[in-house]
Amino acid sequence: MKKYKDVVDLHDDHGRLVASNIPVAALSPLVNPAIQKIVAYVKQCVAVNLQGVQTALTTGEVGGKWSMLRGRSTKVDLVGNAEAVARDLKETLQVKPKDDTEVKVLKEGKNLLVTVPAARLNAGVEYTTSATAVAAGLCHVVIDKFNIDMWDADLVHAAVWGRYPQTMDMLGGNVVSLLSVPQQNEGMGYALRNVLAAHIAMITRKNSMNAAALSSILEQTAHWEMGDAMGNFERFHLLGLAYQGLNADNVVYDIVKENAKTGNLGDCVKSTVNRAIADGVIRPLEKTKSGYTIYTTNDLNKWNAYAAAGLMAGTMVTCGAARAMQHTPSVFIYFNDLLERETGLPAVDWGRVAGTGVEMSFFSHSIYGGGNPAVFNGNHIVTRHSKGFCIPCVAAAVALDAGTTIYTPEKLSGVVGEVLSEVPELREPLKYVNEAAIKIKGEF
Amino acid sequence: MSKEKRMFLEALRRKFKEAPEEKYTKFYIFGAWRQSKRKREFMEYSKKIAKQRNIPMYNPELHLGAPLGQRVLMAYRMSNTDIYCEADDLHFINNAAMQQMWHDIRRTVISGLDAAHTVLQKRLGKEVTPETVNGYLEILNHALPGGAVVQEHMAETNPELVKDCYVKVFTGDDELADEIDPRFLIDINKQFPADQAKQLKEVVGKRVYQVCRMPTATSMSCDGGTMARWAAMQISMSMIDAYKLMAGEAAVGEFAFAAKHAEVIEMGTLTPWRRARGPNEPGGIPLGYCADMCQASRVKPNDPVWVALEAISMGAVLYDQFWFGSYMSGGVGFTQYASCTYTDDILDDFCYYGADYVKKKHGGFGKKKPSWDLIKDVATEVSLYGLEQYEKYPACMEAHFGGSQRAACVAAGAGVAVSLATGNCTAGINGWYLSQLLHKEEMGRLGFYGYDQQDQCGSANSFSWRSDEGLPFNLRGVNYPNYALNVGHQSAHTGIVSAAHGGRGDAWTTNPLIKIAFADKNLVFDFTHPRLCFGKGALREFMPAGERTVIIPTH
Amino acid sequence: MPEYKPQYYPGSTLPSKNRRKYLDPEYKLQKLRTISDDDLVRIMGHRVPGEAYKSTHPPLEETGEPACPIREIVTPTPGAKAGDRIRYIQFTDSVYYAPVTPYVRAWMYHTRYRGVDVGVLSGRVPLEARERDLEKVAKELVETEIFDSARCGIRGATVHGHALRLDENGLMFDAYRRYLFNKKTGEVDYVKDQIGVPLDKPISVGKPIPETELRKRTSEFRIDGNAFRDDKELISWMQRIHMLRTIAGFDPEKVKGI
Repeated sequence: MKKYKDVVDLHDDHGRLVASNIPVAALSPLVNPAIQKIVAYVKQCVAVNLQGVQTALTTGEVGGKWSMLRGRSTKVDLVGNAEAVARDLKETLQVKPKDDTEVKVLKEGKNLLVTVPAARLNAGVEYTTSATAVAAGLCHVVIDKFNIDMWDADLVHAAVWGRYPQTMDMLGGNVVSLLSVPQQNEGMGYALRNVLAAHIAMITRKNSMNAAALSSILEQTAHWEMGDAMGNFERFHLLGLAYQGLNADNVVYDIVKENAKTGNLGDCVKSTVNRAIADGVIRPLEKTKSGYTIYTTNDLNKWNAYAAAGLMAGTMVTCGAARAMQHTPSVFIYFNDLLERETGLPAVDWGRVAGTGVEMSFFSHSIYGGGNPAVFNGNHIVTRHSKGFCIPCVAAAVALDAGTTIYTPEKLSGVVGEVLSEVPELREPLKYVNEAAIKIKGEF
Repeated sequence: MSKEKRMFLEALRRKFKEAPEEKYTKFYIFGAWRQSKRKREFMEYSKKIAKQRNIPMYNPELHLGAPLGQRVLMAYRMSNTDIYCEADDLHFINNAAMQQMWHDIRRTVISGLDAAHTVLQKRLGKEVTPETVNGYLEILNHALPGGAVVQEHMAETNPELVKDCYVKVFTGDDELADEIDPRFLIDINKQFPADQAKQLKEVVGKRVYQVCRMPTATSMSCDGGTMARWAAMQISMSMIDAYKLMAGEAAVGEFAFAAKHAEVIEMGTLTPWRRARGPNEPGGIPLGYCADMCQASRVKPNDPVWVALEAISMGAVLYDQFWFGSYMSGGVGFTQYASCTYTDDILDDFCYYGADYVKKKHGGFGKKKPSWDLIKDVATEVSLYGLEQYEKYPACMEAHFGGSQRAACVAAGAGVAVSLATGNCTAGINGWYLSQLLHKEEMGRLGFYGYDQQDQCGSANSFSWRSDEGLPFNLRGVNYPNYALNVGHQSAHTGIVSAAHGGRGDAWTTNPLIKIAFADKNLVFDFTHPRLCFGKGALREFMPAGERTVIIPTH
Repeated sequence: MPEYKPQYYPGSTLPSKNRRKYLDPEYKLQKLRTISDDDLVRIMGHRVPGEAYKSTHPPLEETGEPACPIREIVTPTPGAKAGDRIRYIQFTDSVYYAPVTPYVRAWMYHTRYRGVDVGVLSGRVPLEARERDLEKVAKELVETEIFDSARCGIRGATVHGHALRLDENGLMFDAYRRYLFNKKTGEVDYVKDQIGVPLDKPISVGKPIPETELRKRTSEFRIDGNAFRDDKELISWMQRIHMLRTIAGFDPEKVKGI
């Protein structure tokens, strides 16, 4: 990792100053302990729908929609015995006594939040270890504890694992990780980008600032994993994460506040330009005959970070005013169009956000696509083009929606979002990442 | 070509039967769908079918709000031919030539023979001579279509059904080529102009490659992933037969490994989860491979513009009509996104204008290194020219009634011109992207809802070299991230690759083996004149392979 | 610190100036015609005039909102506050001197209106917003200089026509014939709503603007009017954006002071 001189002021989700002059490097996924913990939790935490397992066993409805096995049924009271199941599952998963294994019973036994010990992940190379360990462990617990005989063991497998291994993933299963199976990743290093915006909104309990932060952490961290945040491109991502996702220097919050009552997207563009000029990020280069001023910069990466923060603010103002998520692709295209026409400088991600907006508008508004913004993630052929700058805005917009869609985030996320919102670092990432950065600021 | 002449005017006059410069016309007087011979025919069939099956079918009266055909349902001229047809004739379902082009690509596998010969000689102590090779090829021409060679009591295929299935070989070694039975040889010397043949023979050297064409009937019943497996099974069996080998000994596994994996070149690689298809499907075929499959370069090597236009028509059908139009979108209506590039001589006009401009301003083809000034100059001029034609000739605008059609053609003109000037197709695609941005600003409109996704990303990604962005343009295809769901681009992209190398006088663009493999007169589709061939398909004059006449009732 | 004044759009020719004007919310769009609220509601076809707005969720005051600092400060639009459905109005603009082009529409919608969702295709521009917010915006879009009854169409589906030649009355093609030229009044009457459902009675949207006037108001470049080729400033601006995006894609550190 290169050395960077950049320092930023950290703010909380309400725009209150938390600390000044923190090295931006302290926000890097390579060193920030909270980001690393968040990533670890994403890998280690698994949601179990215990009620789902019980229902599947009772009804024989396993392995996906309308898959109903006639004559197959086993009655097991998992929910009623959730505490005991949790205790046994913990013992099964634990590598050493008092290690980081955790099994938490939620919703009166209907759900479990399982943290698989890091030792299990460290003993392998795939993040799927968590899901496989929990699924396998749960099967053992159910079969042992409830004396399931050989003739019904397959049904337990299907109730837990779904249709796997006829399918590549756990289709219709009741063990869910935030991360999808590697075969579903668009390319190398895409795992952290494969998280629905709906999950993010639900995990952060629809606090749009935290939704933006969590999504930005996952999206931008993925770019280190993809090999993108390297050399001269590392600072591009680092500043992007800081300003767009983590509200560095309060740029996002300030622009939202400035336009909160009556502003529109165009006003957010103006606020962004104004702020960039005021902070010395851009300056006039020349005036054309018509009187138009072309701006320039000596720090294109910083300009990108400001533009990305403006984009986030533009999303929050537009989708916030409408309390609706569907506006996001329009914001992606036209915030950037207007910003380029206002300054003569390339907009966020040098056109890639606008491009993503073009395709996303098509997919979220027409017959060729499918789905409102809540079903989007960065691991899709429509959205992967932007290097981490779109999905955080989508997540924030989903969090701001008042209920305009039929496929709501609640419906799409199912138990995952609800269960993982119990993890404080995932629910309030801004707070924890800021605190961690303050702790390590002296290292730079 | 002088500026005053326009290649598209004749087609426009025929399409509208009015002066192409006229800005006003009449609508709503054409009898709706009844003005179209093809739609009348469809309606006839539909009535019969509805009666037979007791389920209603095609009915253009059901078009939301008003029947189709409130304006002229215009004819289309297949560019650079005298063939006129209706839009429906260019739908790939209605055009047997288009289907055959795709089948001919999909059913092709190239497999090296040298490794197998090494196994025979070193591991099994067999002698390999031109005579034994000829013997092997005769056996494989029996086995590849489905004939049994080793096992007894095997079911076999009806030769009439699989008559388009065969194997041929090629080599860069003239002496060896002379000794191969000419029925089995793709003769580089005969198929290619001398300069191209020299380049190709040099690169192939003494190596021998077999080109296997599996039956079209297999292509229609199975998928692209079948092909290398089908070929490998029959290759291995034929080796056993030709060289009298033990059927179950370990060395035979080496033939299978060579034929299935180590020595095989498939036309396309497999695609990931969301658009998952196996090998030899359109999503995995790089642009440069498509450009190499096109054989127009053998016909008019000194006219790289014509060659690029022929390649573009192939790309249009393969990528836009088959892949995006159906495989990816599941839709049925992408025909005219694609056909704008190969009909009515409009793109031809833009490309020849660009070529003339390059010759005049930049000293000819491939004479300049890529530079920002050159890209700016050439792409801007050709884009402005294209846009102005639509404005000067309202009939031209009406012919390309959707913005995506105009965007593809204007940018294709610009991209092809930059490619010609620089011999560098990555520079060419950067010219295309500049064209798209200029077009958006000029017209204040561009393409369909999702059209310019890759064009907005394109400038930044042209010369990027990060993980999933940088790749020489030849090797990008419709699985390349920015291009993976973006109809109305890759057709012309094929031409941008073609033009860069055509302008330089290269014998191939990306893969010399593919270039040679398709220099084959036994192919059903005519890869030397794709547009003419599609036109014949439109006129119902093209006879495809894979017909089931011999196994179905007389009808 | 240099004083910053919003500039909206580069370019030196008339279409560029008009684009700049339309994008600037300080510029008041000139009103050319009056369409009653009820007639506009009829043309849009989402509800019957006088009918209450249907809702997609209860009013925000009833449901309460999640604890979110952005929701605390961003005021919802009246439609969002009430829980209105999100509905649309869509325009098609002819290439023959319609006052605004699709992208100009999108740009100006976002500089003038709050909480709007806009899409652009070559031949149409859907605008979606909470229903009561939409009606307010739509009024301005139909009554002012950016609308022409002959060269703009209000169309939900089957929008084909923007690139077609004009009919004998100078009207843009519409397969549904949602609007007709009334020879008696010289005005254009809508006889179907935007999705093509027949109206109980024709609704006039006024006389077509004469072409000479359209040419003054247009934001379209055309070779037979204001050629794009002549706006060297705009071309050079676009080339600059492309160049900077390209270089930044190669290495953002190489863009310094240019």
